[in-house]
Amino acid sequence: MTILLEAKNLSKHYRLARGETLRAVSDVSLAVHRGEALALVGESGCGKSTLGRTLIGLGAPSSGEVFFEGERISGLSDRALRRWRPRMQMVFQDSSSTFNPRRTIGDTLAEPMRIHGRTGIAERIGTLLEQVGLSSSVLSRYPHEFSGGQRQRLNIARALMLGPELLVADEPTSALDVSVQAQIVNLLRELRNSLGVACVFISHDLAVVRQMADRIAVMYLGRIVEEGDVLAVLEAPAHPYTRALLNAVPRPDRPLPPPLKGDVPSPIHPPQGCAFHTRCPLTQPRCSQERPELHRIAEGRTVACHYPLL
Amino acid sequence: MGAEMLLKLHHLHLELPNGTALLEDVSLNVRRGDALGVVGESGSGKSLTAMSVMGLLPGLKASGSICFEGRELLGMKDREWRRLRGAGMAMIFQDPMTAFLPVRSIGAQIDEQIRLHDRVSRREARARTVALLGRMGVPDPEAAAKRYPHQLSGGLRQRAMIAMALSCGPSLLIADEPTTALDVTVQAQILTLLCEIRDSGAGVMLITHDMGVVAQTCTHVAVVYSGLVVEQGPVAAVMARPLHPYTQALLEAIPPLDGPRPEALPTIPGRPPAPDARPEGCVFAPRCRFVRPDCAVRPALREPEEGRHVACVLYDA
Amino acid sequence: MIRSFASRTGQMLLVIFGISVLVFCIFFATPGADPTARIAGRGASPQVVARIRAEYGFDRPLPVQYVTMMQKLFVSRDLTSFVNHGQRVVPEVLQAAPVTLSLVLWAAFFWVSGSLVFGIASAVLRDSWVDRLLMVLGLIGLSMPVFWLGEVVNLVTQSRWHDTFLFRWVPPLGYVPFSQSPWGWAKALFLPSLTLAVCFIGLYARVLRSELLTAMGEDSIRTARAKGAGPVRVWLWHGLRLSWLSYVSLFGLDFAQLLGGGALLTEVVFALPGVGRLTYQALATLDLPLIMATVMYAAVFVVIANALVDGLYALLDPRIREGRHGR
Ligand SMILES: Nc1ncnc2c1ncn2[C@@H]1O[C@H](COP(=O)(O)OP(=O)(O)OP(=O)(O)O)[C@@H](O)[C@H]1O
Ligand SMILES: Nc1ncnc2c1ncn2[C@@H]1O[C@H](COP(=O)(O)OP(=O)(O)OP(=O)(O)O)[C@@H](O)[C@H]1O
Ligand code: SF4
Ligand code: SF4
Ligand SMILES: [Mg+2]
Ligand SMILES: [Mg+2]
Repeated sequence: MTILLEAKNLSKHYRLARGETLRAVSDVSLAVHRGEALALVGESGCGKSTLGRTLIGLGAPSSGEVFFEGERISGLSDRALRRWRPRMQMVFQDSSSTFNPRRTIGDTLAEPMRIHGRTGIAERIGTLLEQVGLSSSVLSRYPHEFSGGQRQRLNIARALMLGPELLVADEPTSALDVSVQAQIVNLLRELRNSLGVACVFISHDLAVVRQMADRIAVMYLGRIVEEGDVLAVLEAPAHPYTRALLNAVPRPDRPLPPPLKGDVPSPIHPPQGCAFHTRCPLTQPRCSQERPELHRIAEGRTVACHYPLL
Repeated sequence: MGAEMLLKLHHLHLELPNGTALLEDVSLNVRRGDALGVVGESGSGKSLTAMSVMGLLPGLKASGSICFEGRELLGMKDREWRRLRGAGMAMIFQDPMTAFLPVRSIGAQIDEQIRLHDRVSRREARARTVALLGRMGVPDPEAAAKRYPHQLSGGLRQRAMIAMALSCGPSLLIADEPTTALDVTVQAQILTLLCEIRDSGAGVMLITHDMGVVAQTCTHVAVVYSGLVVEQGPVAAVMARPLHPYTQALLEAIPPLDGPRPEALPTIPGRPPAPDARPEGCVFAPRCRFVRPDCAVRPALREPEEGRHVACVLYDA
Repeated sequence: MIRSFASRTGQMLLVIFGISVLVFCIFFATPGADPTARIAGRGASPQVVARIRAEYGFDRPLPVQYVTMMQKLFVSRDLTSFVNHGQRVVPEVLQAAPVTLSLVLWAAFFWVSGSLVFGIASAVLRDSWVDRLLMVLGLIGLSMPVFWLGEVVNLVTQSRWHDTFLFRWVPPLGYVPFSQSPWGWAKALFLPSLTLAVCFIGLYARVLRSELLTAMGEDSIRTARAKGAGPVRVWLWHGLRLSWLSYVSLFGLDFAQLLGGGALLTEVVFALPGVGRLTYQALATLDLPLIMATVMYAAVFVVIANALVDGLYALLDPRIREGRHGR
């Protein structure tokens, strides 16, 4: 498999008022292969959305580089990036804000192709609507006439209009009911199989991630703490935080294990050493001094912990 | 029969002034020491059910029966209902950020509730507040009481909310999606807390759309579909062998966290009917895979097995 | 705390400085117009003109002129009106200030209490006939010109029905200082301030009503009701706490601009010797030093009132308190 998108030591810092810096993403390196689905998981505020946006050039990174098919796309001007835009698209959680309430669905769907001066818009819309399971009668209707699930389908269709090779989906199912969520998850998997689109799938729902993704990257306070094959990681997590996340998912077959103590620390003042040491049940004196680097523990499996569980 | 009946909704029906039925037929029971999970899709009427029990829906017309600790609430004067609210039954909400008044410290808001129902001095009220916050696992409760909602993390805010709900020792705690706005690790903390409250003998009604949350914290579950309770029973039994086709479909749609990964998740075709366009017969009929001719008459809730209620013609009473 | 106070004061001084420069430029540094002649007034003798030019330094560079002017205004306070035969303007303004202050305080009392009652009543009884009636009354009050209303009030209470038992108590037009007779002071200000308050009552009642109704849809109000709070408590305590902010900021601005001379028409109609009337006279006779003095006085008041409103804001809303000077 060839590498489609690669990030090297990517960081994104936000300058806040009063001279503070918020390190939303720190020193992240990852690769997305052609046709692969990589899931980014972690708790609220850990930098998943920021990383997703930075990966496809929505907002310049503070440091580090991003390569698309081996060519550097970070640090390019907006003009220079335009050439790449059709090949990378994003789907957001809140599908209602993507659609202008006063424009018909057909109008909104056609827009990206019009902007990029493509032809054959009508046929393209027809095929895509079929792929996302809607009839072409929706074109003359307005966004409010659709349910959340249908809007999310349209949202996905819009992102696919230009035939992207990479799709970044930021919590595409979080606002949906379980039964609708299942439809969207199926749809995304199907599209991946039939179109070969690579996907960065951002979510905090481990069950959905397991269903959707090939690989998983777990983030904590702006850093990736564990990465590997999704089934392997969820079967036997190597990082204490991954295990805690997995334990915190309520399940019928077992009582709730004792939850993690405390809250996620502020990304403005991340703890010294291992960022997780303030909540880690396995913490040792070394953890608060020395930051564990991401290292390989098995084929295709990396973890950032001094005392991994594997 | 076991524990004492705390809350009994019997054919609760809720209408807009224009006659649209938002709740069609809700019947459910909560016993002391029970936790009843109310699940269902968005818009099915879970929050409306909870709000009707609290009497917080002045604009809507309710009929049927809401029986709380042996007293009929429907038709009760608002003054009397108010005395129950916060004291006999209390409610916590989804978003603890907006649920607190942003301009007063959380301690002051908890004190207020205590003093609304009990004649105690400010000092005593504050002492009770601090003790409660401590019991809810808020670190340094005395300082926390002086803080404003925006100064606390989501988890601490929800703990404060629960502390406020418990401040007058209610026998029924209604929680409307208390963990939806929280992270999973924090959600686990709150759920653990709810389990403790249940074990201490209060009745809990937990509204959620997460089956996992129900499985983890509740003893019983009621499944709501389009304003009707279609199934009710003990959690373990319903999870293991759901009776109603809707419950079955709902459980199947959840992606598994272990075992083999299915190629595609089973889904339910179509979407729930709008409140003003419910079908004549079984409300689930347009989407049901077992639909048959006699589904054209709306099936009443029946009890095919001890303690399990289901509204479907596939089961005989 | 002390630091934020100091920085706040610094900001205020900076704003006042900016305004004074601006005003100075408008009146004295407009190209093509000789301020000397304007200060002297029409038909002044050449000696007077020469004296003024020397005294204000109009033959020197602009910054010097500015400093001289400010020195006369704030330090030696001997800025003199030539139109008005050598009257010192600063004491004049300072004398007028208490009149305006009294008038505006009374008016504020009326419009705050009136709009609270009307606003809350129409919010609670929303969409009923009471609500509609109150809102129509408010609209009428809002659209009545204050000088016209004042004249009507005068006509009715001073001449038409002055001798009926209703208005016999109404004193003749003019002002009675508080130190002279508190009762007379109150009587003299009652009708003028009520007249001034009428249009504000309408406006403020509307603002309060819509803010209250918005607040009532908030989650925290639902929580309050779930706690078992009664309607009075929910509306007056929780509802008002949430809807104060825009009311207070509106109040601060209006109060300040009235103090700074915005009550001009009322003062003229009721013959109250306040700052507004002074400004009116100064404008009528083109008395530049007096205009300068009243404008500066107004600026100082607006700035101070703004600072007070900000302080009140912070008192009312802890989130603002922190946004401004967080840890
Ligand atoms: N434009 C911005 N300016 C300042 N800080 C920001 C900005 N955008 C995001 N942040 C901060 O960066 C951190 C990471 O945000 P991000 O949205 O990437 O998190 P996330 O993992 O997607 O969280 P969630 O699950 O809540 O969507 C957060 O602490 C957030 O407050
Ligand atoms: N005051 C109201 N007036 C009119 N319709 C209402 C009112 N409140 C709720 N509804 C409607 O009643 C239905 C049920 O609403 P409810 O809030 O109980 O749903 P829910 O099950 O809690 O959903 P969610 O999971 O999204 O919270 C919805 O279709 C909603 O639009
Ligand atoms: S490095 Fe230490 S503190 Fe960090 S996760 Fe590993 S064991 Fe826990
Ligand atoms: S009553 Fe009929 S339509 Fe309704 S759930 Fe049962 S089988 Fe399906
Ligand atoms: Mg995000
Ligand atoms: Mg709800």
